[in-house]
Amino acid sequence: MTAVNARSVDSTTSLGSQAPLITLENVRWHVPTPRGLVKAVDGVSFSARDGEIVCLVGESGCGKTTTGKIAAGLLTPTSGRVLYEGRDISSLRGDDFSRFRRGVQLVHQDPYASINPMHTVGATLSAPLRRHGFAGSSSAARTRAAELLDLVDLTPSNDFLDKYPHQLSGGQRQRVAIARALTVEPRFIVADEPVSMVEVSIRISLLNTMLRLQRELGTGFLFITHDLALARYFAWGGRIGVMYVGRMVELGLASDLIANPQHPYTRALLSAIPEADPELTRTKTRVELRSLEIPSLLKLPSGCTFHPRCPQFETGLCEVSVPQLRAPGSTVAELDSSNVHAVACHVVARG
Amino acid sequence: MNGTVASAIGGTGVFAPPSRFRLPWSSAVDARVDGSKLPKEVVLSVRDLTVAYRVRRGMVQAVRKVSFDLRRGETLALIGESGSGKTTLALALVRLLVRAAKVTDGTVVYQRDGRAVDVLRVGSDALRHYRWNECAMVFQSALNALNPVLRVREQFIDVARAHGMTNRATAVARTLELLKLVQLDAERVAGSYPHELSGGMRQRVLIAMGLLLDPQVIILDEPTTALDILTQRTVIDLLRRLKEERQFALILVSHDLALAAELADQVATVYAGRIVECGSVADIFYRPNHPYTVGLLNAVPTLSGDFRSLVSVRGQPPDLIDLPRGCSFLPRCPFGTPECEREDPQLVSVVPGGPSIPGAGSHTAACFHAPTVAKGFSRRLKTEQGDEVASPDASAKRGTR
Repeated sequence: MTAVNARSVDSTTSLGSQAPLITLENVRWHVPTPRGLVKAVDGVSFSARDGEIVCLVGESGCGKTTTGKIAAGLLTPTSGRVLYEGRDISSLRGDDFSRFRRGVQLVHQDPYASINPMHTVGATLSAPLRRHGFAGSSSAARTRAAELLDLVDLTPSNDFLDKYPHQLSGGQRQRVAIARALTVEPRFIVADEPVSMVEVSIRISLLNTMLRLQRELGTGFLFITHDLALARYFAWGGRIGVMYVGRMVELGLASDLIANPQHPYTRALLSAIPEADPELTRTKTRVELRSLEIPSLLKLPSGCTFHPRCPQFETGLCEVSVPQLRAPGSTVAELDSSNVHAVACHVVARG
Repeated sequence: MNGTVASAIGGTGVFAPPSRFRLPWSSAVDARVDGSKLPKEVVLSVRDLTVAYRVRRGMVQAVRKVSFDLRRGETLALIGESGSGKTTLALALVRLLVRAAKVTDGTVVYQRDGRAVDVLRVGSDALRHYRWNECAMVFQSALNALNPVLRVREQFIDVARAHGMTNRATAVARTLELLKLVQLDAERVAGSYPHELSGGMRQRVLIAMGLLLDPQVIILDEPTTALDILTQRTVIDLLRRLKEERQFALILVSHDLALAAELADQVATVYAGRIVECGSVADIFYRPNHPYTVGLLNAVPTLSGDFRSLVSVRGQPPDLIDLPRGCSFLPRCPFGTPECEREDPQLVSVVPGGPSIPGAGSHTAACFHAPTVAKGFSRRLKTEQGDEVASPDASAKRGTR
């Protein structure tokens, strides 16, 4: 395991099943706007192994969706690289590139917008099956589409094949979206807030379906959410990364990060979340922030972007330089290993 | 719908009546009811409220025979899935229902200073007074509830003028005072347009606006949905502080159980237009008696306690036009027996001999199997001593039944 821990991010050496499937290397997404440069994503690095679950958590505007789009190859980062099976995706051509495209699929947030209302469920699923050669004939595509619907618990699947999206509930639509992502047998699915538009009482069953897919098919997930409790549930066996205005501030095993948060921002978030238990939620100790204002992406604070709000702010340290994401007590960034708890905070790093 | 709602929210400027039309509350003679049987601290007493929407396919029974008592300074949370009728119920309390909706039965008795009136029968002038002066509604989605082309200050003044506060200077002073109360930079926010404010600020502006006329009852529809975690926390803390200081009664409409756990004194679970369980916040979260409440609790992910697998309530909410026979929860219920199909269970006290009207001091549930449901449940994340314990897996037990 130590070998894995010390492995530097740019290495392309294969470590068997431990080699990351997908790696984001210091990716940035800087957008020039009339009012100045917006640093939506500013140097995010992490990796996911085959079948691993990684959750990105953060408030709106923190860049988690942009990061997800970069990981899925939908956005080309303005700097930094995305590696798929150790190869930079921007250098992939022809078959190699379509292998990446098939290997990484996206499930969008809004199932009311992401599914063509004019096509039946069967047609929605058959199109990619035929296009990518997973089904040789339309009847084979239909059979496979029915299997996929079974897989995402839309049963009896034959009832759903000829339905149009408007005949389905939000949860059912999202299941169709997941089935569509599965048509090309991906190894990794980027799911951007997949349950936020779904009725609360059935969110869990959708997550349970996704967790079953991860177990049975070995599909990895990059799960993007603003809800830490959902992230804890979904990523229990995986990792959670917390983002704050374009940067990853903490990354660690889900169980460890929630039980033992290190970064002041993560601690503030966890202390602020109401819990569905009256005694617990009313007696929780709160981390008080120095300011409630979320900085503008156009005018980010110097040094650590959290310093104007941070309760542990120290003059002469926090506003001077940007803290790097690293495990406390070590000096190298060790981001692709599964059990390192990394924090981007000067005060925590000093110990 | 939008017309009615918008005119009640504050976009009333142009059409606001001059102050001379404002009638005192006591003018609602025709709607006066005998309040002598009503306990003095009850501000809102709802009985058998039934609302149906007329649609092409038939009647949507959105609210069915809802009764509850709300006391001064008390917070009642209505929780349930979307489409369960909780928002319709809230709208009916301030008579803001769309034209297609009709209150077909029931009374909503409002009491202040010993005088009681049936809100459903008051005339338009008294109704105008009742709304906002007595009972304010703060709408879901702070983005849409404010008028985008008016500065915040003007929207407050509109409301004030529509309700008889004609002196502009007084209204402005009160506006600034309220904006300060909700922890906003009063001067700046008052002069801003809604688009210049963040979601959390807009939500706080709306809460301040609700307080403008110092009502006895405030209805909040999903006050923290669509807000970021830290902003949500500010709004929750603000509401808790305000209700302590101002002692208004609060009706909280939400699908968020955690919000109810934070703020509510009483919690009512709403399913298919009915209150299926109502009790104190501790009753509902620690001793639920209705399988739907249990189902909701078992589907909430938590941050504390051991990891446990969660299960959704199986199935879909029923069609409110064509409700299932007997108990409307039966198709989704793990406890169902033939008895449940024969008859729709009434809301009764879970304690023998206890009061059967939801309100302080009562714990009611509409389930024939309430004792069994209650026995199978255990989900405390924290013991009395304060240390976290593993909660026995209630869901596993449920599955075997």
